[in-house]
Amino acid sequence: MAASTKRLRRGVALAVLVGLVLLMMWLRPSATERLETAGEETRSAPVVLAREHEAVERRQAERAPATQGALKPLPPIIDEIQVEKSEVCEGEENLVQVKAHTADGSDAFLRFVIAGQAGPSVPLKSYLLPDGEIPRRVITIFGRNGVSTSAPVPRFAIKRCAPDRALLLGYRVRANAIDEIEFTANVVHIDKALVSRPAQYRWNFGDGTTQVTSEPHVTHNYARREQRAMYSHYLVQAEARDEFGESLRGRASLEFLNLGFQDLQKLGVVSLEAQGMPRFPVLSPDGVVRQRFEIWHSYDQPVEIQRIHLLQLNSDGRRDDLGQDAEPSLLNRTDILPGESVEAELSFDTKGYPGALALVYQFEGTAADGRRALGQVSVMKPPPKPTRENSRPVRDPALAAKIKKAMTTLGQDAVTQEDLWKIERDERFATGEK
Amino acid sequence: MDASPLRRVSTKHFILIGVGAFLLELWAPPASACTPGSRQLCSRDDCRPAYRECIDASPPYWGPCDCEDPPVVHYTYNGTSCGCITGRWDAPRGSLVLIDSGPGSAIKPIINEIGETYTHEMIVQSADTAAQSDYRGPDTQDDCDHPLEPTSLALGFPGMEKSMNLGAIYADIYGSGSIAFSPGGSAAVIWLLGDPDRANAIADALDQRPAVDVLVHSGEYIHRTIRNGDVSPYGLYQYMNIEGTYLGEGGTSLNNASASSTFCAYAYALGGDPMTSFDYAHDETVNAANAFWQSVYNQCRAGFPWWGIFFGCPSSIGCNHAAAMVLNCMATADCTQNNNFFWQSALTPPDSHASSISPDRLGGLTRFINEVPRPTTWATDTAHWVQWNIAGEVCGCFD
Repeated sequence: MAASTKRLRRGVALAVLVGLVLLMMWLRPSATERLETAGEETRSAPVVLAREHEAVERRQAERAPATQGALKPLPPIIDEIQVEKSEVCEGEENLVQVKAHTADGSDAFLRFVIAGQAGPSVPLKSYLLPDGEIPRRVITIFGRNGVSTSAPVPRFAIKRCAPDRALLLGYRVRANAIDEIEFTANVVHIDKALVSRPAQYRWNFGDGTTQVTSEPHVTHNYARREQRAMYSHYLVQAEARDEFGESLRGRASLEFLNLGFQDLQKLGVVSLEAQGMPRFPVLSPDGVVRQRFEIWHSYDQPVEIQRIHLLQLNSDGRRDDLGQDAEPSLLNRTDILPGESVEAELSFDTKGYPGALALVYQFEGTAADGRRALGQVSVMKPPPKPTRENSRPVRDPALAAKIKKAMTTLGQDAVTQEDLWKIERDERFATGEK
Repeated sequence: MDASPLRRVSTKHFILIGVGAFLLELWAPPASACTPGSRQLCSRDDCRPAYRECIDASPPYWGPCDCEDPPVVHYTYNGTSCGCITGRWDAPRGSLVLIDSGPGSAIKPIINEIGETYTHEMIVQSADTAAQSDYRGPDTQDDCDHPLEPTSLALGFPGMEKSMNLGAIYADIYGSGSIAFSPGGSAAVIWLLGDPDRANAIADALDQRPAVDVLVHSGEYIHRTIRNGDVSPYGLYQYMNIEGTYLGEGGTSLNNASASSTFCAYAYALGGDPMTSFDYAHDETVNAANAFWQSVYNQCRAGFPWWGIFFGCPSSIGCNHAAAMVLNCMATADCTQNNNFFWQSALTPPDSHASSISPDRLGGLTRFINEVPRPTTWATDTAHWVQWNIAGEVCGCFD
């Protein structure tokens, strides 16, 4: 009885073993599948892929997606892909850089997307997949009207380790400030209990300018960049140094859609851009808002401003044509040379336009090659000083405390949302709170 | 289960994975229509808003519809009370406001992979109000197999809303103090008007749409727009298939859902002839889905917030489940599945592709600058920077 039970157990164990072996063989990738997945495994950085992708490009040229109603341009050609490091820890930055061109001379429309992030130089952070595999990511280069070419991100090793700390670089645009970006650098420790207080931050804005600050935030203006392509890209870098000389680096890819170039391509119009000073309007005791505006364009020809037309923006958001023009003498010069700007002292007499929220100055002109130039700025009436009667009561005790404190700290009788954020940010930095 | 989105899956793997997925589906918790303790808006003639509370989950049993009218309290701090006045913008009525939320946006990888730029948009109702469809992000739950709450993925809150206060919009666009320390923030904010008559017709129609008020914070209400007789939640599936949303009132969609750009297409049709939807190529649809998966997975693994939420399960397995749920929701409209098999299978056929309307196409921008005829009347305008008369809100305290 015991012997037959033993034989039965051995038989079952053998059957299970054979079954497992067969299952593993069945699941093992075929030779074809292994070839398909091994293609990019052996490449090491830097990798030049132009020739390797010629066949891919030809195929993609044949089936390039057409934008409805437009000519079908040729897809871009990838010249080179470089990867900074051959191995990284999980979450560690690894810079991937791509060069590409177009065969039909439309390089101005090139757009680079690396693993979902925009820019020709992207600091990529990678994490292993649950099965330990390296994620497969794609580089896509777009040309005019959305035609595209794709290639895999060259593989690099990702180790099961994590950097003990990292410098996160964040950014956001500032309201009423054309392409003025506020950057913040934040030291993050894997051990969240540790707090690092760098003594110095060295910023490289990617446009040839640098700055050193003692605080983890800085603003930089990109408004006067050249706009000879649809996009402008910058690799921004921050380096935090502590008192012992140790440093930590963080990078971010910054992309601007060039509105001036886009308007030129879309409507054949030269766009005039304007930046107001002060950034937000201030009402004088005489009921007049006065703002100085710097006006420029990004076209390669001079532009002559010939007319300043007036519109009224009402509180309900409707705009009325006032049927009036302002004197071009409001401008210090009427011709705007490429790369230069002119200034205008604009005003809005709020008593003269009851019910109006803003007086809109519409600038109209002509470029030297005959193209139409257009732009407009609003001189807006600011809100009144808050009183018990005209304001919405603050019900949140914490917010009320913040407002009161901000008023005291800034010595102002009213504070804006931006004031509150700034104080909150500075307090966080002072206390090292994340 | 292979989580790598680009790996080719053979037929035998499909069979095995399919059986596994079927078993997983049997174990998957059903989406609950009524979570005990949760509240739902209900209607009463004598007060608004009114709420009822979920008493029991299965079968769903709701309590009575009770009035809730929070008293207006002028909070006093050290003998003073404080108040704020909301700022205004110069975007004209009926214009389209386009926002590039930059790398901090949850959907930016999708937008990048289709060669476009703008991530969010809204329509101006007046100098201090706007309408949009927005998503506050999914809820998390204490279940690493299903880290995201499926109903909050499928029926995104708040979805279509109108008469939004510009103070809240300013905070959304330019970020609060805490957002300054997370990577990303808005990179650009513009408006497009085009034909003022059409724009005013759109704004008029939005003004007239009925809405239900929902209390979101103490004393703070949002106004959820009624579309086809019900609220219109935010739906990720709208990225894959806009369905009839762009046709305006009467155009149907699963769960009556909308997304930010498809809402604007809906609103555009309220003011005149509808625009058309756009078919994206198979390759770019797959690339966008893969990039979206990677983005959710990486944010989760890094411990960063995604769509404003922090994942409770930052392990590779938990993050894989979270990313799979999001992608299944977007590609197949099934927000309960935590297995990558489903979205990968849906996007495997070479003719599978997204058909929708993006922010850039509403404005005839980037890849659509040469589209003729122009996709909308907004698309006929040059871009204008949004100007504000104050930095969000101005606040003061009074004795």
